[in-house]
Amino acid sequence: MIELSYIIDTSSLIEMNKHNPMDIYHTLWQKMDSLVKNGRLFAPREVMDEIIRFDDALAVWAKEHQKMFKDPTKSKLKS
Amino acid sequence: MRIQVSNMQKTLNVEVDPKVFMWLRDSSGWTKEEVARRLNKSVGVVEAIEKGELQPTLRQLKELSNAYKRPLATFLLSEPLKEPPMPKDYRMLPGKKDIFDKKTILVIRKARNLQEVGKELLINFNDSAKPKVKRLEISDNPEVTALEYREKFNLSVDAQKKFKTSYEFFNHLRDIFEDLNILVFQFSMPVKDARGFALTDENPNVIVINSADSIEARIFSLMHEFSHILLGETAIGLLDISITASHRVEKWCNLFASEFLLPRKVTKEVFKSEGKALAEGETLKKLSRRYKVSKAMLSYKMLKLNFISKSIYEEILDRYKPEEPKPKPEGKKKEKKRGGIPAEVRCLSEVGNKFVSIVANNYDRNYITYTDALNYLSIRSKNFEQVLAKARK
Repeated sequence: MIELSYIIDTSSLIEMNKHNPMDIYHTLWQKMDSLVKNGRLFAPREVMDEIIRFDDALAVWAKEHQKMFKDPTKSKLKS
Repeated sequence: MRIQVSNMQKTLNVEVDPKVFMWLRDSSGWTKEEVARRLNKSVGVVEAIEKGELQPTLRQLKELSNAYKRPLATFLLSEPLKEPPMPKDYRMLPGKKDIFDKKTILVIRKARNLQEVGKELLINFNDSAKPKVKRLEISDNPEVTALEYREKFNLSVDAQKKFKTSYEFFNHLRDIFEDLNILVFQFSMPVKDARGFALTDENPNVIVINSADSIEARIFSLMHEFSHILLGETAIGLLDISITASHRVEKWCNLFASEFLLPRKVTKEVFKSEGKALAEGETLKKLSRRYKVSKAMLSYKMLKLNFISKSIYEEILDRYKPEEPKPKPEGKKKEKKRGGIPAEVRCLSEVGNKFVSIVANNYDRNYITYTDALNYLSIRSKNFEQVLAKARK
């Protein structure tokens, strides 16, 4: 079976925590945790910076899930 | 654009266009020395980057992106962008380049950005974003026009006195301007640079007031900048009132603002009734509170109406000179704490009710995302509902 990996953006995470806050929707966020744990959910490092700017609760979550935030590589930085 | 990886994948060198690197520094108002200090490097390093001899690291670019308040991606542009013009600064000699503090430059850029966002958000609701005012010519009489506007705004002398505080009066005028499709923003910048400015070359027209000023001075600046809008002039205003304002547009705007806030007829009667105590501190304080105007403006009126001499006028101005905050050491520093002002109060004060409402309406209709809304209002998620609730009041 093919296991899909996901790349997620700031807006999706912030929107998700607005409509399904992590202190209420435990199951959903547990599933997010396991995606990160299994190396199937990623985001550019910039997403973490933006989350810190906008959402305190999500910033705590992001800091606990550093693993998913990736620095740019040669192929990413192109003008 | 290419990057190189060195030091076991730790340092990413980014190949930026030297012209873009220099443009970002220059247009953000930073000197090479300041950039060097921020990066803990020598000026030679900054110069080498600007000559294309050295590539900055990704970490350095992130640091500068924070310092200039520009997205990291702007460093990756292939050439400098054309930015909207800066407001005209009448203090400068013709042909001389306007030089502002980097804090002022940032405020001008922020105002331009909010203006552009405001336009899109208004157009989403089929609002043309055009100001609902009749443009005037400099040949029109500023004082007659000011009285006409007092009438249009239903501002009698009694109504003016009835405002409990100067803040209430300021907000009343701000609401009127917002109804006319003129957005009023308040940001802090060095008072020596600007008391306020107006952006009239794009819709919606925007007035920016310096929140570092006293509220009475801000009321004057608000009316001064409104008159720039009436004339269709994009300009920076330095002094609220000054007998030395040399440019005729500035003179026009000062006359308009001072006549609007204290019509000559009323002023004469009030000044006469105060007799010899007119120029005393207590009288100025009382009149300033009653009419919500600055002591500087009152003394200007006293001089203009021949109630005081020029030397007394200058002595009063000197007494109530706005204080400049002490300069802080440059270089790397932590984000300034925003004191005890609640985020929703700061947001409303900065961008105003109308801007918050148009953001909220666009968000409600799904024209913009939640993150866009937070971004436009410069607030955090936890403050969103409070800002909306306060704007709806």
